[in-house]
Formats: sequence, structure tokens, C-alpha cells
Amino acid sequence: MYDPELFMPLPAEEKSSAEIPRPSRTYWQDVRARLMKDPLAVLGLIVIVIILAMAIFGPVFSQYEYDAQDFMVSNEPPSFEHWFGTDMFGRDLFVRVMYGARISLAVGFLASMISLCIGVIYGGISGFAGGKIDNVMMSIVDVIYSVPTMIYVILLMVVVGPGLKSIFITLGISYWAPMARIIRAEVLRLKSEEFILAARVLGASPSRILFRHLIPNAMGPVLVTLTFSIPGAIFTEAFLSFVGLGVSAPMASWGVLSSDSVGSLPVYPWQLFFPAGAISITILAFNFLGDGLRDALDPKLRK
Amino acid sequence: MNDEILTVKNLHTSFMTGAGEVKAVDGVSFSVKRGEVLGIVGESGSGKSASMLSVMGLAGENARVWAERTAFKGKELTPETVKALRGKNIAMIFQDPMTSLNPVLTVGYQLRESLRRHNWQGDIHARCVDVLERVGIVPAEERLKQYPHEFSGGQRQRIMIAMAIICNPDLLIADEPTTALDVTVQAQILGLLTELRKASGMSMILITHDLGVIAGEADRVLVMYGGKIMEEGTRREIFYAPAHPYTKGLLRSVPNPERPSERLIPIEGQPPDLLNPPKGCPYVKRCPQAMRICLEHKPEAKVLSGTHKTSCFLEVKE
Amino acid sequence: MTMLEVQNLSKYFAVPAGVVHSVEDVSFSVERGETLGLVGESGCGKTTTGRTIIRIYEPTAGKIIFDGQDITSLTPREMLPFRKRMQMIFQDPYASLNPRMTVGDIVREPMVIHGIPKDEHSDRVAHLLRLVGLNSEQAGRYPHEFSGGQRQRIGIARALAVEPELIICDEPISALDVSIQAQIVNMLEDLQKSLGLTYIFIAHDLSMVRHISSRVAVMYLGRIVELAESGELYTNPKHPYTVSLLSSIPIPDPDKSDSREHIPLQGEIPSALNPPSGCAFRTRCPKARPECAALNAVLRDTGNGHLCACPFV
Repeated sequence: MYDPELFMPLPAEEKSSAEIPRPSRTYWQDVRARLMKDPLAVLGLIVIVIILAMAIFGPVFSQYEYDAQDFMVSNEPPSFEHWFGTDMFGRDLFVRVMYGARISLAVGFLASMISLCIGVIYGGISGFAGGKIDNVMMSIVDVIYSVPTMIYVILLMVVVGPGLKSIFITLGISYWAPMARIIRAEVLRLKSEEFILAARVLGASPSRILFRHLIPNAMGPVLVTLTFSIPGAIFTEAFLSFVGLGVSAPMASWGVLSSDSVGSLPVYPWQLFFPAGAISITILAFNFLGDGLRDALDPKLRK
Repeated sequence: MNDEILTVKNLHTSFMTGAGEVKAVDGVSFSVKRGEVLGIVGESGSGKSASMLSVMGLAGENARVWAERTAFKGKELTPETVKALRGKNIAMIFQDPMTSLNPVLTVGYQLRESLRRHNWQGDIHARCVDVLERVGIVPAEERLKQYPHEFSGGQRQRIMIAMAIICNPDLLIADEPTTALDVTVQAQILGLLTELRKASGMSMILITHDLGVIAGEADRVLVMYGGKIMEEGTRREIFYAPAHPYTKGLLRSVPNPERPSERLIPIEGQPPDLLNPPKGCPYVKRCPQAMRICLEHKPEAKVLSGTHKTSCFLEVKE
Repeated sequence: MTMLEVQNLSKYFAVPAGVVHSVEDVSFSVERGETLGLVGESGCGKTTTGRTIIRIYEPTAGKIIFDGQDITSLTPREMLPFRKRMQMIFQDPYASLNPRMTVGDIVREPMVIHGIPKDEHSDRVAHLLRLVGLNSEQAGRYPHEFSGGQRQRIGIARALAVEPELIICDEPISALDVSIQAQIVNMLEDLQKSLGLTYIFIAHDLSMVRHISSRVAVMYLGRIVELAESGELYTNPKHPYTVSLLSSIPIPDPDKSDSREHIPLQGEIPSALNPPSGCAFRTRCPKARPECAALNAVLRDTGNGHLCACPFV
């Protein structure tokens, strides 16, 4: 029933031809592919990109300056000339919200990056050193953790003085504690893995083990925490500006804009609506992205 | 035919994963007779566990299971009837007992619970003490009050066995029951299983990768590779007259106790990529006797004797 | 010529519940070019012994003498030249390779650490990959793209990158499929011959240890209970533990499996937190006597270098 030719021995080179190699994909390419399958995360990412683009390019292309006052049009409702209306000084609110996005996002990203750097190094050393050093270093984190962040931030702001730079510093040094904890937990988990033992057997220096082996493998949870800490920083900045400890006029962050509009809320509600809406949408977008990232990085789903 | 406890005909299982469809089981047929031990031997990814989980309706949400026929004691199995039989007429034990024992409940509670679930007629407490004694956990009265973490690995596996046999099942499916245990404890557990089987006359499906365990325990053996049955036969047929090149290769790749220092003859190559399986025989890439036909065509099972079957074109050729 | 000598080595770990006696007064030597098998059940201290010898763990007591030099208390910097001379192969091929590094980087890392000139790296990586049966074009791929057996080969290539003399193989095949185990064992044997390597082969698979080892040490609860030339140990075991252990190995041969005598052991290994006094095996020993609780079960020569810790054989 079969062609006898088919019963000839199969040459070795044809055996390997039965194998079609799968394309090489790195861990991060895998993560990206999984992330792109999560519609909410993609939505979050698109929103963040749009907001970023508007923050960077919006004010440049706008016909209005963020600090140009025009008393002829003060407190205008939204219209074709002024999409978000104007404030009491006749400044265009659309350009001010976009300009505010620069400050708010810059605070969010920079403060998170500062906390990331401190947290990764501190947590990495603590987890890697272990023993007494770890105990002492983590007790310090516990103390920092036990003081409510807001009190701590406000105290620091009062000492350092309001302004953009001090917001970066203050948020950076108050947000690193959770980051350090996460890195330490990851490092502790990874430390006994065989590839770390292999590096020790090879005589790798502690810093090599920490920076080449431990931290790159701990980056997944760090990235998720980072994504969640950016909206936290944005919100804290907004709050600080709201209570008057943030940036000062004529600079505008979303917190300043919200704060300015509260007095006239019953009469000109849109003045609060737009900056507050911007804050909410941004925080929501980062949370969507963070949730998606967490799922995409989950090793249990990894095959 | 009515001495067949479990009948499975042409079973297919695929798992839908993020990377694509994994064909874990591809056209598997077998049966288990009353009182016998059917050994299923295969390497990781051979589909030996997946086929059992599929029959039991435990393959998971991402699994697509299809079979021409599955029957228990001649009665067709449906998802509902399988659920009713599970734990009562068909029991399972797994490699890691901790995944099947609830750590926050006492052993006694968990034993009583399985009796109640299956409407045990009779004294529940007496039954629990009895099974625990039979698996060698003594003093049973006291140990019933303990939690799983208070037992050693071997004792936990004994408790799992107690839970499995508590309703007097007709069939026990043991999936790598001793893989996580040391050899001396493995010998104890295998001895216990034999003893319990002889006392109750239950059938057993023993899934393992260890040829030694199969040689010692099984009456009949299925050799699986790449989701298919390569060879089926009695223990003696498989070990003394293997017909399939894979079975032969497997037996050659373990050290010969007679000539321990003789060079080993490994099976070359790597296990098949289940995401991207060969079109024909799954073993074609590693088979030293592969032919052109094996690349494109799937071999049918060829009957060699009343008990011995193999799926290989070498048999068809002759 | 003696490659490695271990003298009265002990390793204890402090845990919240007390002190775990993982390795207790272990002594043996390994000759250049031979394979010493180290077998025992989980928790017997075989892995800890290997890791203490290679100084991942600090020894609690005893001496480690490598090629005539005492390396027991060298600092990490002083230890560095010895790390080139002794290497390790690990059990789990999925955990022993850094998942974020390419295969090429994994095999290159030892060369970076030990300051081998950069321009030699690529050639040496390609050579090492070919040596372990891999394709040198695969250097750019990541570990997860390889099967278990291939990953174990990558781990071996990494160990060979520093051209070591002694390799401690810590259960190198126990996580692999049966058909792959023989590939790796054959490769280890070939490498031993062509590179003149010395192995300490740690495993619980007794039949594979018999195949690969020239001498075998059997460990129980942190101690060596028997040590002999491998053929001698398997055909003429003396210690009651070795006898039971050998009779428990499943034999892949139905007739032999049916006809042989089982010597079952009662119970399981006691906790190393609180080991029994005297001979540690007495709680499970089929031949235990009252005096076993007090005796000092040290290894003694029973003739022809066959060492046994049981005084009643």
C-alpha cells in the first residue's frame, strides 16, 4: 500500500530538516508580546504616550503662551478659541494643562527614577549581604516606612523650601523605601539559585554578582512597582501644590491649576474639571499599564 | 469484555498556550483489566500524565480533550459521570502529596470529608482509623488529629494513599507516586501499594519515567513518546522482546547491571518540540532506523501477539 | 597523585530550631584522573559536602587540601586562582543558567572574571560549545530556547571555560530524562579522558554512580558509612545501610526484579537537627544492637581499602 521507495533509510541531514527552529526571543520580547495582548494595558500605554506627546510638543505649537495674560477674556468657558476656557487672568487653560503635564509628568518620572536608583542599590546590598547588615538596613527602612509618607514629605518640603527641585528630591528620597523592600525580597529569593552559586564558584566579585546576575533578574517586579509609583508621585505633587508647597506661579502643574480653581469652583467649574480630569486619566492609564505589566511578567504564565 | 475496568479509545488532548497549540496526547487507546497493573512509561512531555488527567476530566481549562470512547466498567463516561466516579471508584495519587493535602486541615478531617462526600455507609471514624493503620501510620487515633506538615514526605504519600483507597476504589491512578522520594522510602511505598492491591483486588495505572519501577510492578506496559503509544505489551515482552526502536533505545541507555562499566548507548538528539511536532512519527528525528516514510506518515499500531502491539513502520515493512 | 584531600570536614548550619549537622567528620581523598562517587539519600549531606569543598560554604571544622595546598581558610582573593582549577556542574539545568544572559555570555563570563585576553573570547566560546556538542552559532540564543540536556551541556561548557582540573558534578543528570542522561554521562566520560579531568560525582542514582565512578562513598546523615572501589562496593556491600540501599534500587529487568531479596528499611531518615547518638543509622538498622547507641562509628579498613563504619561486619 506504500511506495517501497518510502522504506529507504532516512539520511541524517533530512532528519534535522524535520526540525524548524523557532525564532529566538528574549525575555523582554516575550513580555512585550504578552503585554500587547492585554487591551487595557495597551489603552493605558496609548493614553500615556498621547499625554507625553502633548506635554512635550503641545505648548510649542499652541498660539498661546502658558503665562500670557489677557484680561479681555478672563474666566471664559470652553470655546473654539480656548478649548478648556481661560482662568481669572485670561490665560488659556488648554495650554496651561499641557504645560502642567510637563511638570507633573517630569515630577512623576524623575522622582520615581531617583527612588529606583536608591532603592535598587540599597535593597540589593541589603538582600545580598544578608545577616546582620540586612537586619540593620531593613530596620531603617521599617522606620521610614512607619512614618506616613505625607507627613514626611511635608516636613521635608518645609525644611528644603518649595520649588520644583525640592519636590524631586523629597519625593525621590521618600519613595525609595518600598522599592528597596521589593528588590531585597527578589534578591533574597534569587541568591540561592544555582546560577548565583555558579557565579560564586567561578570567583565572580560581589558587585559582579549583584549587578550582572541579581538585579537584572529582579527587574520585573521593579518595573511594575515603578509603573505604580509614577502616578503616586504625580498625585503627591498635585497634593503638595494644592496645599501651597509645590511650584509657584506662573508655573503650572496640575495641582497648582486645581488649587487655583477651587475658589471659583461654583462659578467656573471647568477650571477644576480639566486639570483634575488630566490627573485622573493619567493615574488610571498608569494603573492599567502596571496591571498589564504585572500579568505579563508573571512567571507562572511563562512557558 | 466486562473485565475491562477502564477503556479509552483514540484520545486526543491539546493545550492552548500563549505560544500556540500543544498536542500533548495524539490518538491514544488502551484499556485496564480488573486487578492488573498497567504501567505507563515515558519521558517528560510524552503525554503520560496528560492522558490520565484528560480521562479524569482534570486536564484544566486550557485543554481541548476529544476521544472516540471512554468507558468505566462498560459504561460510557461523560463529564458528569466522571465527576461522580472520581475519588470514589477511580482514585488518583500524585508526585507531590503537599499539593493534594490541605495544610490548614487535620488529616482526620480530610479523610472524613472524602467519606462524607461519597456518602459512606457505616462508621466514618472507624473507617479512617482502619485505612490509616493499613497504610502504616500509627497510632492512627492520635495521628488523625495532626496536620500535614507534621508528617515526613514518605508519610504524606502514605496519607495520600489512605485518602485514595478510603472509598474502596476499583482503579487507582498513581502518577509518579515515588519520584520525589528516596529509594529506600520508594521501596516502602511500592511495597505498600502492592500489598493494598492484593488485599482489595483493585486495578492500578502506574505512571513513571523509571524503567526499574515498571519492571518491578507492572503487568502490562505502555511506552509513550511525543503524545503517542509507541509500544504496548506485557512486562516480559517490553523488557525481553522490545519491538520499537524507542523502547530498545530506552532500555539500552540505562547502565547494564551485569556490565556496569560498559559504555552507555544513549538516544541521540533532543525530545520533540510539542509546539511544532513532526508530521509523521514523533521519534523520527532520533530514531537510528528512521526511513523516508516516517517523516510524513503516522504509523498504525501493528499487532505482534495477543498482548503485544507496536507503532512502527519497520514492522509494516517486513 | 592526590588531587584533593578532605580531612575531618564538618559543616553545621544554625537555624532557628537549633544546629543542623549537615556534614559530620567526613574524610576522603580523590586521586588525579579518577571519579569518586558520593551517594546517599536526600539530606545525607552529599551536596553540602561538595559545596563546602569548593568553598561556597565555610567549613565548620576540618581541612580541605587541594593539590597539596590547604585551602580551608583562604580569603576570596586568595581562593581565586583555585577557582580556575576546580569547578562545579549543577543539578537543575533550568536554574543554573542566568536567564537574562545569552549562552555566549554565560560561557564567556569565566574568561572575563579570570582575565583571559578579550580577543581570545569568541574563539574559545565557539570551541567550548563545539566541545560539548552544541553549535557555535547558538551562542546568541538564550537558555530558555534549549532543552534540559542542552542546557546541561551549556553548564558544562561554562565549567570547562577556565580549564579546571577537578569538577564537582552535583547531581548533573537527576533532572534529565532517561534518554538524555546517557548522553551527558558519555560526554562527561569523554571529556575526562581527553582533558584529564578528575570528578567528584554526587548522585542518588546508584546504578549511574556505579557506572561512572572508580570509587564510591556512601553517606548517611552527614557521615560516610562506607567507601570502596565501585565494583567491590556493589558486589560486596558491608554496611547494613549500603546493603538495604542497594536492595532498594529498582532493576530494569523483570526476572531479576522478581527474584531478588528486598531488605526493607523501617521509617525515614532522622532529622539532622537532632541526630541519633552513636551510630546514626541505628534507628533504622535491621541489625541494630543496644551497644550501637554508644559506639563511635568511624570508618575502618576491612581489607583491601574497603572502608566501613559498622564495627560488626
